[in-house]
Amino acid sequence: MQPLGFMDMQTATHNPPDTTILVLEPDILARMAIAEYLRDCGYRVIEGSKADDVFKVLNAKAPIHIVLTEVALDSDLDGLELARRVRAAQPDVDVIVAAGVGKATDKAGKLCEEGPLQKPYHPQELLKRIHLLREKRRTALEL
Amino acid sequence: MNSALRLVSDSAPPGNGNGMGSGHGHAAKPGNGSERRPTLLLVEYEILTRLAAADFLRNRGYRVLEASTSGEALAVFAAGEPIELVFSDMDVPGNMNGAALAQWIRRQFPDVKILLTSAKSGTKDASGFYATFLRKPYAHESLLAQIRQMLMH
Repeated sequence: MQPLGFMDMQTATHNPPDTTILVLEPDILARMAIAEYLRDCGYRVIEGSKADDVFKVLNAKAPIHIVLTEVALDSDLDGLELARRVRAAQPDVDVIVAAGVGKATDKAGKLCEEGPLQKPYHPQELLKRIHLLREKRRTALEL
Repeated sequence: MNSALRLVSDSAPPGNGNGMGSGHGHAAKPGNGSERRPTLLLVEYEILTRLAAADFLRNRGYRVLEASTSGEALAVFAAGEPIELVFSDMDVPGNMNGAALAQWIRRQFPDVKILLTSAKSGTKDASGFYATFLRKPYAHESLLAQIRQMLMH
């Protein structure tokens, strides 16, 4: 396991309860496991199975802070294109793209400052990404 | 087994010794390590309807698993989740509609309670599927009351 650095697990137990993460994952068992993990870490989690779900939720003005999406979606849209559209429509929403090893890494790297989250990933790695994104948003608000 | 599930199964979430959601029994309620939460399976294709009901029920103390199709519901059962009640739309997509899903659950898991819902005006009796029926649109409080009543018996 990678060291967590400044974002240790103690920090992870004190997530702001007002952070909502939309987990977009076509595989029900993967979605369920990730969603329950994040809920147990204190986040509000919305579960989506297809790309259209994200836009329905965003159009409904639901307060989403982060979209976690798999690259391979069961729709015309892949996770990378979905990330572009989400950022174009809602710049205040962060997107984490999760990809299989070697899958679309270059494209995702150009899209995401931190690069794609490589599957299989450790859940604490996901928490680190989430904390980092929330910290960046908080810092930007303070400047 | 998918990679994401495998990767999370070896790491308990902080502040909670359970909750990975695959055959580990009831998850402990956050903040109360000894309390057992009934597990509900909500089967609903429409994400806004599903998330509203799921949020409401989670805030009332239930562990809520979500499926958007009948195929996903079957996968959740196959994963060995300790489901006590299924709340399903009658028109859920997949190889089975809600009625067929209810019949399958009744055969395979006779102890699981089944609550069906539909907005179609012609649907009013789910007794043929050995299930209870709640018409859409439903008030969340009515849903909660129905679930509480069903879980008492």
